[in-house]
Amino acid sequence: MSEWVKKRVSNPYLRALVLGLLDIFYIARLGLSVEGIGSNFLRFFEAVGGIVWLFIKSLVQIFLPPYRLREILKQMEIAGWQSIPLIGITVGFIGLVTVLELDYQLYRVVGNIDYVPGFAGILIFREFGPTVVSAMFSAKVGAGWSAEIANMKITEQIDAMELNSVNPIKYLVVPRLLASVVMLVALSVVGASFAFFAGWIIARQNFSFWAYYIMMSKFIRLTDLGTLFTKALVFSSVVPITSAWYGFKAEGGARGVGEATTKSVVSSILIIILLDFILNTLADKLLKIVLE
Amino acid sequence: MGERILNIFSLGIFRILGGALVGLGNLILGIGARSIFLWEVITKIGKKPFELREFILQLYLVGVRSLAIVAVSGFFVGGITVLQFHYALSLFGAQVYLGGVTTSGLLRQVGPVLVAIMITGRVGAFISAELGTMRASEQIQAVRCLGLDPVSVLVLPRFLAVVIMIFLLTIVGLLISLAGGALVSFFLLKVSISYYLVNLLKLTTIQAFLNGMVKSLLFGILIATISCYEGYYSAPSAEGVGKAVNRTLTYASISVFLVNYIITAIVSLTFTLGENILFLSGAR
Repeated sequence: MSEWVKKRVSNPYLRALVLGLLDIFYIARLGLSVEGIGSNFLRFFEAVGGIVWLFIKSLVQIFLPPYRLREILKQMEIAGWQSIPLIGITVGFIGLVTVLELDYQLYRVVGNIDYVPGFAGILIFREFGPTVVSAMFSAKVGAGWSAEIANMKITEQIDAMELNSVNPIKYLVVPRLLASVVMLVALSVVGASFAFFAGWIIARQNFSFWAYYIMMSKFIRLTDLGTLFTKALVFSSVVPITSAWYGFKAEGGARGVGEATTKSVVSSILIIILLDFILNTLADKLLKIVLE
Repeated sequence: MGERILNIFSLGIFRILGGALVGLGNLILGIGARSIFLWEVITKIGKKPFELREFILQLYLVGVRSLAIVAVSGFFVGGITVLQFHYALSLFGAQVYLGGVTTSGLLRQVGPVLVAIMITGRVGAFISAELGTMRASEQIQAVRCLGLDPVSVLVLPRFLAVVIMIFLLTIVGLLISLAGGALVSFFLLKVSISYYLVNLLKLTTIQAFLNGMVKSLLFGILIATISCYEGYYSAPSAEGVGKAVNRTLTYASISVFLVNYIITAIVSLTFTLGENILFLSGAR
């Protein structure tokens, strides 16, 4: 087909257009065929099952000796300390934007801006603290981890580990998992406080610091703080497990490393969003059941 | 002599000041290098050797391949936004405005930023990995040896595809997130349709939509520039590719949030001024 086009069509732009559309047609035909759709579904279920299974295996491995404390501390430094600048800057800007936007919205809706700190506090503690911080964490730390593990995989270091009867899950995944659990909870508190102070920078025109603090504390309950910690704990295992799974699956040279990184970042953000939605819908119902 | 000067500069305050100065210089140098790269790419638009076939392929790879991710994440983020806003508004009894506030917030803030972050992870990282791999395996030098310009052959199709497709994907993502928010409020929160829609048109103006569109265009240019630059000038090794991907993700997310803040600040500064002139369908 493309040979025929090359022979017949003389206008270079038209030829390129037709050839490009033909390329897309050939790619899309593979994806839309029965086998294509079937293999996509298979890959999806393989990913879900594989990630859950890797999570269970690494949970078991946490309790088995040897405990590699030095490696855990090293990973904590990489995961926690080095991602504070990124998380501080991004969540700080979100805090600024939230208060600006709420000023504008609530002024139009309610007619005054007394409720802005309370509204912003709810958003900061329930969403920005855990969820946005985890998404940024996966972009900063998860990408690095999956690139590292994928690099080990394609240079056959993981096979060498298995030959020496070293469990790669024990050696690679468990320290990262423990470091991430500790550090993501800490980072969500850090991120929430960054957003809190950044919000005050904008709210300064209308509130003194203590007025801002008191108006916020009227709306924040202890359950909101509990939401922050619960969500951070739940999301913390997503990033290391997903990046490790895509890292272990990498193949085919430097290109495979890039693909593993991309896939791990996008899938961890997607999983975090889905878990967040599930937690949000479940939280209210669970609270009602507990209270009744 | 030289050692003495070093000793002076290793004193605490000088060290910190020097570090800050070097950091500031590096920041300015980095922004300048990326701006020059952006200008170099822009001047190539409309020049003769344009790879139309590659461009169409990239449009497909960037746009159609990330449609599913944008749709899924947009739907659920719309739902999350509605859930949180419903809780926050119910604390001071303003649930009547749920539809209006959610729609306006999704159109102006949440939607464009969400699509930008998802595309950074999906496409930006992939482009910088691809260009970095080409640099590492000396394919970029090979293209130059063939007498072609690697910027117009390799970078320009990807750049244009990312800019155009982020714009289009933002429209799709916004619509899907609005639908997700509405569906969640009907089926999970049991808010009736008329209750949801009553203040929607009052609070959501066409300006909110235009605001989101302008943002998505700027985010597209930012993400395309950063990912192409990091990939194109990455260190020619496997480690360099990984570092390029990491830098793309970090810089792109920081700049997306920064630009988002700047635009929001400009809009809210000009809002009170231009409300009476520009906002014909304003709420008040």
